[in-house]
Amino acid sequence: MSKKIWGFVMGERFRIAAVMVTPVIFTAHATLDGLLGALLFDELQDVDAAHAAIPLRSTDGLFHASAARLLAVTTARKIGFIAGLRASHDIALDQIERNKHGEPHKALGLARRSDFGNVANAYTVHAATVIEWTAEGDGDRVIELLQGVHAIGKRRNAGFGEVLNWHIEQADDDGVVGIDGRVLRPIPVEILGPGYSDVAADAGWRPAYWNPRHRAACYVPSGRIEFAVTEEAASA
Amino acid sequence: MNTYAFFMDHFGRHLLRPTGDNLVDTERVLNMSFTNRAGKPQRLAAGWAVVSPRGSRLQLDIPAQGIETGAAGTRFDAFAAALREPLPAMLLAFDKKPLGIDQLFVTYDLRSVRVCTKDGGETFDLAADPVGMYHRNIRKVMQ
Repeated sequence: MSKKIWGFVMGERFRIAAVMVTPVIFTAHATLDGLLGALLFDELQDVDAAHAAIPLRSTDGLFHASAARLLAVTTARKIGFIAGLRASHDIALDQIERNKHGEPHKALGLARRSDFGNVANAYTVHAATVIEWTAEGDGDRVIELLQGVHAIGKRRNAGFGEVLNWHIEQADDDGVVGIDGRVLRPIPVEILGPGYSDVAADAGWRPAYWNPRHRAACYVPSGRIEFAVTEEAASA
Repeated sequence: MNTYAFFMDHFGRHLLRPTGDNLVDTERVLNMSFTNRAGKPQRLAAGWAVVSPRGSRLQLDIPAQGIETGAAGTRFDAFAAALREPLPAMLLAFDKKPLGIDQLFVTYDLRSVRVCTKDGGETFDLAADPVGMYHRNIRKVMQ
């Protein structure tokens, strides 16, 4: 079956590409279904409804959508952030452990922040020209959802992961296993069966990816980052 | 098998009576207080554990049946020994604050070894050049 998408006659298999402005931070495989699920959650405010509305084909809960592939990466480096609770902000008492009198164990104040103080986080930042996904499903709806997305990944409010624009085109693979036989996303070993040379790891394989109940032994894609060959490296 | 089913099947069920909800039971094991052989309460807040279908090991010396407790050796010795055997295994390093359930990962492949720590852990390809502290020390023990 084919249909018209953005002026092109498209099959159900498509490639989505995000042209990046700033470096991106991904802490997991960043599958397309995960991204779309988060967008739909913003719209629907219901986790189950959001996942049911993801416009991609799925088999036994496994979406036909690849992990993010970072193309033409020029740098990959660690970057640190300090996150701190503001003592001047109110915190709901039910979020703080209380003593037998019903009062918080620790007083949060400007002079005594103690356990509520700063937390250091380190992330790997990739400067990629393009990030791409392949998938199978309703490309029209997917690109419609993504058109309103101007940043992806973590620390978007700090300027990371800014997207210039989105492109869609026809693809050969279904976003699950590539034409070279390598997995393109986390797939439970129980679903795919033995005999794959891909790395096996403990990973989330369906949305919500933050839910620990959705983790299992999976084949996961490796080498999903394609480094740009610089003139310096090429001449070495 | 889910991460928490693995943890409870090979480790947790020897330390508490399971309720059937592996996620809840795992969280209880990680946060509960055990009585050590000296009669003092102690949590999984120091030392190490290796969770494996071939027999789990815990450095903390508490009375428990079905797992080896009071196991000798450093965490690097224990993790290196586990990685010499067939996988899967879960490598747990305890350090003051209890591990969170989202910090537990099973290692299935030497190309993606995960040491679980309170800070989220260290993941590495065992054959690659060591970068992190656990990778470097495990490789030292294995040489």
